[in-house]
Parts: sequence; C-alpha cells; structure tokens
Amino acid sequence: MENNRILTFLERWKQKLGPFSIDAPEWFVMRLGLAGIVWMLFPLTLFPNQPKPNGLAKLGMDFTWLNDPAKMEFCTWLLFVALILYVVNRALWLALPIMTALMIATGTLTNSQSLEVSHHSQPVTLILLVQTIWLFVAMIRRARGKPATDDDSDPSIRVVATKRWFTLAVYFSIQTMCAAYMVSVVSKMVLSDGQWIRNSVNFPIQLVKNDLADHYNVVNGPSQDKESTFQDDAQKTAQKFFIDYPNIGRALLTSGMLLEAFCFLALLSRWIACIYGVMLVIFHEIISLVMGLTFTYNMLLLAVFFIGVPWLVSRPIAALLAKRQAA
Amino acid sequence: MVLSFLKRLWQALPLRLTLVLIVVMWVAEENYPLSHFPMYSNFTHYDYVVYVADQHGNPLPLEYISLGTRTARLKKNYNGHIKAVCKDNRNPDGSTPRKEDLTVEQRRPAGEKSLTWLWKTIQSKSTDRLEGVTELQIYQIPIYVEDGHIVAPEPEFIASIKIDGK
Repeated sequence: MENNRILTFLERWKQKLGPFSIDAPEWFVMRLGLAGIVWMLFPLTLFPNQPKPNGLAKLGMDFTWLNDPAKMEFCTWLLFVALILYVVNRALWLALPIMTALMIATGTLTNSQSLEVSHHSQPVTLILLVQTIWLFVAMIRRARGKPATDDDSDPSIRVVATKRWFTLAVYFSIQTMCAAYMVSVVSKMVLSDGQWIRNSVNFPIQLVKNDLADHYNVVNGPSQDKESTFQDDAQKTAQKFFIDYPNIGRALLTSGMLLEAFCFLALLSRWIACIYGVMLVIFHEIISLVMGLTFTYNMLLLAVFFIGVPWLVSRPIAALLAKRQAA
Repeated sequence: MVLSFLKRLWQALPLRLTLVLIVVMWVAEENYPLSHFPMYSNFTHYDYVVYVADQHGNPLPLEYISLGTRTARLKKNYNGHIKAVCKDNRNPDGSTPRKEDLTVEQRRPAGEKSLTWLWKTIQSKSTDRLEGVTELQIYQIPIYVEDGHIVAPEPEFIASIKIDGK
C-alpha cells in the first residue's frame, strides 16, 4: 500500500516534469543557437603536450596533434561543415559525432595541462554527447524495425525530423544542464563535509585572490594603464561591499546554491523555465561581476534551453509556415 | 517481489537521465567531458595567487608574454603539483599537511615544474615578447584572514628557471 503511494507520487511528478512541446521552427533556432555556442567555444588556446592526462588522454589517446596549425585549420573547417549540417538538420548522424568528437578532443587537451581543470565547456560538450547518443538510439531502434520513439507513426520521415525525437532531444539537453548544476551542489555538500554554507563566510578571500590574479595578468604590460571601464569600477565596488559584509556574500552564495539544487523545477512549465533561466543568469552575472569570472557559455545555454529565446525568435517563422499551410 | 517493485520504481522516476548523469559525473570526477564541478566547493580560510617575474624580480604581464595563458591557469598547474607535494610529505600521523604549512623548499620543485610547463607553452607559440628576459621566476602571495581582516603579505620567491637559448 505504502509502495503504491510512493509510485503514484513519483508518477505524478514525472508527468509534471515532462517535456515541453517543441515545433520545427523553434528546434531550428535552438540548433542555430547551440551551433553558435560551439563555434564560439572551439578556437581554444591549445598546448604542445599533455603533462597531466585527463579523460581519454588517461587511456593513452594523444591530442597534441591539435597544436599543429595546419591540422587545427582542417579541424576548424570540418567543424564548420558539421555545424552547417546540424543547423540545416541534414546528416546529423555524421554532423553530431564530428561536433562531439572535436569538442572532446580540444577539451581533453586543454584539461590535460594540470590536475586542476577548466569547466567552461563541459556542459556544451555533454549536451552534444547526449544528443548524439539519443540520435543513435533512435536510429538503431528504426533499423531493428521498431519505432524510433514512443510516437513514431510514419517511418518514411527521417528520425531527426520527427516532432517527438526533437522534443525529447531538447528535453534531454535541459536535463543534462540540470545534472551539471545539481552535481555541483553534491560536490559542495560532500567536499566541504556539509560545512559549505558555514565556510562561505571565507568568500571574500576568493575576491582578493581574483583581484590579484587579474592584476598580475597585465602588470607592467601594454594593457596595464588602460582606462578603467564602468564594469571595472562596478567590480571594485561590489568586491569591497562583499569584503565589508561577508554575511551578505554568504546569503548570496546560499541562494545561488539553492537555485542550482532545485533547477529541475524549471521543467514544470515553459514560463517557470524562463523565470528560472533568468534567475540563474542574474546569479551568474553577479558572480561574474564580483569575482571577475566568466559564465558566458552557461548563460548562452540558459538563453537557448531555459529562457526560451528560440521560441520567441521562431514565432514569426512558425506563423509564416502556418499561413502557408492554410493557403 | 523486491525486483518487481524496483523496476516499477525506476519506470516511475521522473528525470531519470538527470539522475543517471549526476551519478556518472560524481563517480567520474574530472574526466572530460564529465566533471563533478568541484570549483568553490569549499571556501577555505587560506588561498594564494602566483605570478611570474623576470631575472630582476620584476612582475611580467603573464597573459601578454605568453599569448593567452592567464595567472589562474598557471595557478591551477602549480596547485596540482602542490597537492602532489602534500601527498608525498605526510605528517607522522599519516595525515596530509595543509598547503599553507609547506616550506618554500618543499614548494620549490612544484614551482620549477610549473615554470617549465609555462616555458614550453610559450615556446610552442612565440618567445618574441620575452626579449631581454633570461630567467623566469615564480612568486606566491598567500591570502588569509587575521583578526577579522583579509591579509595578503609580501610575495614569497618560490623558484626560477633559466630561459637562455630561446
């Protein structure tokens, strides 16, 4: 009896946290947005060796060939073609694995430089990996004579053009972002031995550290004496504020951690996703301002998958298509 | 009976992909593209920055001379070596010493390794912006709270490498 109540409770939540319906124009703008983010991320600073192998490099894979300008140029063109195919929704079985493989190769090389690694590209690469796996799962189902998804009534339509496939591709992408935010909360709680909120009173030490690190990036160099911008001044003011009032910093960090912990609630509805996405962007912006860190790619992913910018941008296209169909 | 319930439980679970990914990322830790995103997972009472200077001890604009490597990246490299030093210099009771308790001598090999790594990275791009520089030095500035105030005392010289014959 008790077990049935648990199952009923979970099923109710499963229904509430189901996928939003996505139409073809919105999916097109989403692909365009994701392709743009991948393109912005790709020309990373590369390195000639892998002193601290990470990920696939631990298994002996050598990605230092990417440091060769000719090979890197070829890879850049290859990625460009793959992104075009992805945006126009053609040959995704080729485009998605190329995009994923190139992102993994460059990211692995960058993160094989030291034991401590960068974290700016993992969510993007994970979304590509999840979309690739989801595509091949659906294609293998079709090849075995089964429906590609739970709503695949017409096998003559390409898998990637079926509404259910791309609705779930977006749903899984949002879930991947939720997992990235939520696992960071697990890390905060476990690695601090449950003391994260208490210890966050030491947050101003990080502000001083980042300020000094920025100073030594440019000290005695050509950009040292550049005029301070509005953002520089705002950053200094915000840093001073949080150094003077460490408990307000603690409250800010705690609210950000709670946002991350419950980010799955964004799947309750499009509107909640939009509000949640805006709140996460504001949180990232405050941290960027205060700490001098950048969350550009996280914020762009939020704009594409949470805030619903593609939905807004694609409405005129959807209206035009509907008009043409009616005629 | 139990298996049948577990199967039904799994099917009823919302956001199964999220849950699986959280477990996979937590277990995989830092293995690109997987990560458990441990940055700022513990705000300690002590941290530090590192910077690079020339043979006279004058700070060099790292991002400019290295064509893109920032002090945060250098610190990540150095901190990785420091963690290894901590593991290799266990206290008599078997515990790992704190980073702030390591002597400059204990930190020196980590500094040399980081400078060698930096120099190789610069050599792979261009050494043009290091005209007149014959030595790279690495300094560390500790940051901590003392009597309720944040203190960042004088930089400590950690290590140096010669870079003659570019």
